[in-house]
Amino acid sequence: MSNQDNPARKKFEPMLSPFVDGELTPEERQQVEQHLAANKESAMQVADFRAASGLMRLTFEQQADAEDWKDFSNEVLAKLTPDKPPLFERLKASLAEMFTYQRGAFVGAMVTAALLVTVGSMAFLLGSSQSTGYANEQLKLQTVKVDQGAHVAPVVMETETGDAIIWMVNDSGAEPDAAKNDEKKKNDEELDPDPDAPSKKAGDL
Amino acid sequence: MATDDLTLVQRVRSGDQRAYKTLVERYQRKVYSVALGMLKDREEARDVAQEAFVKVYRYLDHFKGDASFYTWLYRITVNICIDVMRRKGSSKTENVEFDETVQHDVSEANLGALGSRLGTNPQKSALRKELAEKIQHALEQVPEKHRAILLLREIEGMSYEDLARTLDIPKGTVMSRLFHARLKVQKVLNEYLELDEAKSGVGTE
Repeated sequence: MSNQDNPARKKFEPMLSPFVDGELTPEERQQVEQHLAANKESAMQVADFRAASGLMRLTFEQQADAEDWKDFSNEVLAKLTPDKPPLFERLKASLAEMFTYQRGAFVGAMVTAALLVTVGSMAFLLGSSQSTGYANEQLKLQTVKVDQGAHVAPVVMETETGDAIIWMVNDSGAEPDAAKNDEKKKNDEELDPDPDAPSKKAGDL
Repeated sequence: MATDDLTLVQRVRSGDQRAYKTLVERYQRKVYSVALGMLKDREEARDVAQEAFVKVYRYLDHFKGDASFYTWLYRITVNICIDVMRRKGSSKTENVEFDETVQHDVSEANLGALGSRLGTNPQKSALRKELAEKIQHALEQVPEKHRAILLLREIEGMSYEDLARTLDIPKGTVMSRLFHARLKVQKVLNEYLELDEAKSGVGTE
């Protein structure tokens, strides 16, 4: 029976395809459902549309499954030839990419880098403030002893931080002979006393 | 949760090629399926799919974002397919349009035959390679523009609104073309199934 013989079918036929696709309004859908209940031909056509639709979908899915997709996206990317952006833009893009796709590793690397910079800076600062040689050791002043008769003079220096360093310098270069002469004279007097001089001990006796 | 298309597009624009790889991997199978349905040739379909992705990338700056990324992608895919078909001269039905004002004889479609033969489980029948080939043959009988609508609807499950946007045609035209395309495919498949049944003496169910 053709559509001309059935005005109801003629009226609803254009709605059958949208009905299958769920593109009708609720009111239209209800009308079509009522029509399908009363018209076997239309109902069979809807069944055919659904069967062909499912068959096509499945067939193309299977054909896509049969393809090897492993390298497809890489092949596409290999064909892309974008204009080379400036260095700063490329760096920015790389960092953004890293932050997006490797956020954990990126943050970890940044923290590690920050720690390394901090430790390195501290080591540098400490290293630059320390002297080399014997002055590298920190000395604590206990006592200051000066030999009797030693000719000493303090030398006072100030550090950048305001601390004072006092060096006691034995100025031995100026009077060594005089000191030796005094000592020799003393020894001679003890070994060879003046014969003219009255003995203190004898006088006392 | 998967990142939406628009966000990925924005990342691609800022130079993130990996975001584009994600987009390619998201749509590669369906773009290929549409191309295969249009062209029937696996190698050509793969080439067209790659070309579509490359073209989309190159013209990404022209993408306004007011429409879906995927409607834009499919529009480019369909246009490339039509170009390929025209270059090859294989589009025999190039200018043929179904006129919805012309009365068509639905009885030719042998209503209900497809639904009853395929039953509710099209998978069983879809496993048959000949049936897949017959679907391709059936699609060949459909004018290219109608074929594109049918494929986008069945493979991608596009709404009529998106189909209208993708192919830049009114929604009414979408409904009309889809209906006629389905009727044609249904007729060809029914003929095949009847022949198959006569040969084997049993149904496909």
